[in-house]
Amino acid sequence: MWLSTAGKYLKLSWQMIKANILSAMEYRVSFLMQVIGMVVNDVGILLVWVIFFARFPEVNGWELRDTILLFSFMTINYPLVMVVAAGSRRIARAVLRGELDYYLSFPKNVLWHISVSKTDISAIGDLIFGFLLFIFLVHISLTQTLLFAGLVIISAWIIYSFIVIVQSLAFYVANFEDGAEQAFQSMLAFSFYPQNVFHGLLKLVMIAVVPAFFIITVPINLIRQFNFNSLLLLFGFALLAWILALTLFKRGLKRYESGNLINLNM
Amino acid sequence: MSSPIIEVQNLRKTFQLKQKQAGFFGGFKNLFSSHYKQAHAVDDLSFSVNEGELVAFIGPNGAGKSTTIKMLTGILFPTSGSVNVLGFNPSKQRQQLAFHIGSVFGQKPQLWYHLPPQDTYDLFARIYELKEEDYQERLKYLVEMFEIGDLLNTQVRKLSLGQRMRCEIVASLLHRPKIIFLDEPTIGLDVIAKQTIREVIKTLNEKEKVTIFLTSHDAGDIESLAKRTVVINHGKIVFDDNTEKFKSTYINKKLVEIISADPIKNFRFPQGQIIEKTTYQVKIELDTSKSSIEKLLEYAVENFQIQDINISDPPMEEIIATIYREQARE
Amino acid sequence: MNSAANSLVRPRSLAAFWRKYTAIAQTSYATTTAYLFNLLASALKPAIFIWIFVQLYGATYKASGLAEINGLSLAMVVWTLGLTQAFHMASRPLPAILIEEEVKSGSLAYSLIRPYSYALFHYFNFLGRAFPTLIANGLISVLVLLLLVGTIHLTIPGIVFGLVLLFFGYTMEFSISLIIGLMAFWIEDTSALRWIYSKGQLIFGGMIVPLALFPEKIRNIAELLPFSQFYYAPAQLMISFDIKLFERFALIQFFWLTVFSIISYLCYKKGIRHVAINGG
Repeated sequence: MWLSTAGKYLKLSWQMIKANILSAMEYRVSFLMQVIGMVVNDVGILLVWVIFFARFPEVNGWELRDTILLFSFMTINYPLVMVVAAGSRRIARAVLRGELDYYLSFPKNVLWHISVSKTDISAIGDLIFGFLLFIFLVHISLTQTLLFAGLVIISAWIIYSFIVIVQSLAFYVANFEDGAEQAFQSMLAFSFYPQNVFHGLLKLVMIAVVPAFFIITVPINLIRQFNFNSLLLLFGFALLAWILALTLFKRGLKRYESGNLINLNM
Repeated sequence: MSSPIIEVQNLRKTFQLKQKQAGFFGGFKNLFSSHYKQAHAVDDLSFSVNEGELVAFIGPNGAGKSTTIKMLTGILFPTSGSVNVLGFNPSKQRQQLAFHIGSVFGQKPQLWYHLPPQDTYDLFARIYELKEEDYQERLKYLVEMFEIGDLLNTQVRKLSLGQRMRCEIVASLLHRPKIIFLDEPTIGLDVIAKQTIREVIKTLNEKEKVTIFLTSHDAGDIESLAKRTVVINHGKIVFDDNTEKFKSTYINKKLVEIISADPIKNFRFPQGQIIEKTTYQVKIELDTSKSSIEKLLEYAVENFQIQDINISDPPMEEIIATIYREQARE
Repeated sequence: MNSAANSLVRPRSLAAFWRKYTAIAQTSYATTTAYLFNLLASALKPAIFIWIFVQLYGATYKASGLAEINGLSLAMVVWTLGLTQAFHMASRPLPAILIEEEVKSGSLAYSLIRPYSYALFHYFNFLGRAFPTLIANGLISVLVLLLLVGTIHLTIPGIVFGLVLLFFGYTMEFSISLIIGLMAFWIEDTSALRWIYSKGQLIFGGMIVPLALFPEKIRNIAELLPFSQFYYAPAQLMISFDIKLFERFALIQFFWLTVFSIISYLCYKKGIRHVAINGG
């Protein structure tokens, strides 16, 4: 019975995403420009690091090929979330403006519904870039590839939980729309640098405040050099984050429904 | 003696519209090829407006209203035809014309959101190159007229819709424009706010002889403000005359309400349709082309103890809807 | 009726012109400083980058074992990058995205109905915004740099000439962003153009890797491109002032500024002709 519900939601998700993409395709120039533009965008960022490593071939054991692996990973995990659940980034705004009422009127899970309500078209460009990069420039074994695939999904899962947690704070703190977006952007800010240069207080920030550590650093290091304990740690963190996300959202939604919010912007 | 300050002749505006195909594969096809259709938004329009007139310019959505207004203000270039506003060619002398026209687009704000209205007014004073004393005098006058004294130093985002609209209109009047374009000025306002705005617009027109070009979907706006109504549909003018004539041209119906002293049991008047009936009262919609009020009253007086009679025109909305529907059939 | 005889024509006045556009800058300044907290919070963004650079280049220099690379010490690298980021972020949001929003929402109608030049409106609006943001960014970035990297030898001429270059740098970035924004008159969605432009800045603008550390061949090309001339050149000049360097940068800036001014003027004229506005 639980499985059939999951199946239903999966089917619905596919339909929603398909509808989102189709409606975006109506504006053909915009669609193509977003996809192709993002591919060019990602190539551009990679070029910065090609130049860096041309000058400094190795930093603490990290080379260009590690950055390429990193890029391939980052342009698949986060865009995956943006294709399937981009609507999650609008939760704070919906809370502020009372737009959740719309989703509450449906006989479907609210978190799921608002998440799949939007698809980021440029993320499709990211995915194309990520896959092409992986196919042509990432040289790892089959086992490592399978590990890559699994880790991308866990990482995407953590990213989604992080977004939901930060956005759900809007149920509890007034005017948190901007703050949520800033937190998310700062997570991305850490993503493209050689991960092993981070130490001290900054690393702590990356672990506890903006979990870039678990989203990027640990997965990449696992592929470079597998370590069962790290995998366990990662999985544990993902589970924790997920539970926290669901709890925060569920409780927050109850508050919203009871009209107890202090920050309604009427 | 009034002279025309807006003169439009044989105005035309044609747009190219992309044709979209439905479905998944249609979506893909769209990415690589396209079909265009010509849309005649404004199709051979000719009219003129005299100084001091208050004209309602109405039509269903997509009729060509905003396209026409944009050409009058210089935002849009005509495909062909001529436009003359205050002696300027709007498309060629947009900035010069801008000094003498004002506009309020009901749904798009012009006041800076995070600042108090006073800041926007000061800004406009400098943009419109107003002399300091003129500006202060004018501001004082408008603040009094619109009763926004308390609102001047409150951030716009904290104002209610009605308060904001009043401040918006003041912003568009600071530079003493000769013509004002009002696009849905009372939209979303409550009854009292609507009345206030309408009063002010009327006063502006009567006292200062400001020419007003009003677009609205609110029949109340049109009825209470405009002496002249121009109806546009499918890019063409279908009516241009007094608002009074407007009703009689399009509707040959009257609403007759009869109130009787004793309960009304059987009211039968075949040429009229009963639209409301209570114990002592009956409301009839009479088609005056098929019968006359006289006949209806004769019947009523003959058969009932009449206590009161009300005769009125059908609501403005219905008249407008009739026009829109009529043209759609053509 | 011809316009020469039209008594309603306003005579052109330089004083009125000046007052008009400074009022626009003042208003956007007021709006930007209306929420001081937001301003300071956004000034933290360059601070995070400074922190990342300290760790990245700290590790890099340690790995190389050298105290100076291409004449730059670790402190100089981080200061240059830090200042570049601070200058760069003060220019956000760029006019391109604002113009695109105006076109999409239809509030373009209001802008075009007023007696000012749309392009100049955006320029002074931009300056009014960038100025307070620059002050906030600058103060916080310098604080963080002093904290994490320590002091560095700054000279008065370096700062003065650097600021001159910076002003023209902002004007250059503005004119390019204006061109991109005007594209919205034709294609409505300029996001791809904006990304490509910002990547050009990322790669050649000395924002992650200072130009001085580029491999020689790439550095020579990069220095001639406009990207490094907005913020990196002023930052570099401030850190290590050299009058010959100033002259060189000023020349490159002047060239690109002329090119982009002409292009933006042409785009503007054409754009106004083609505009079709949403809504209504």
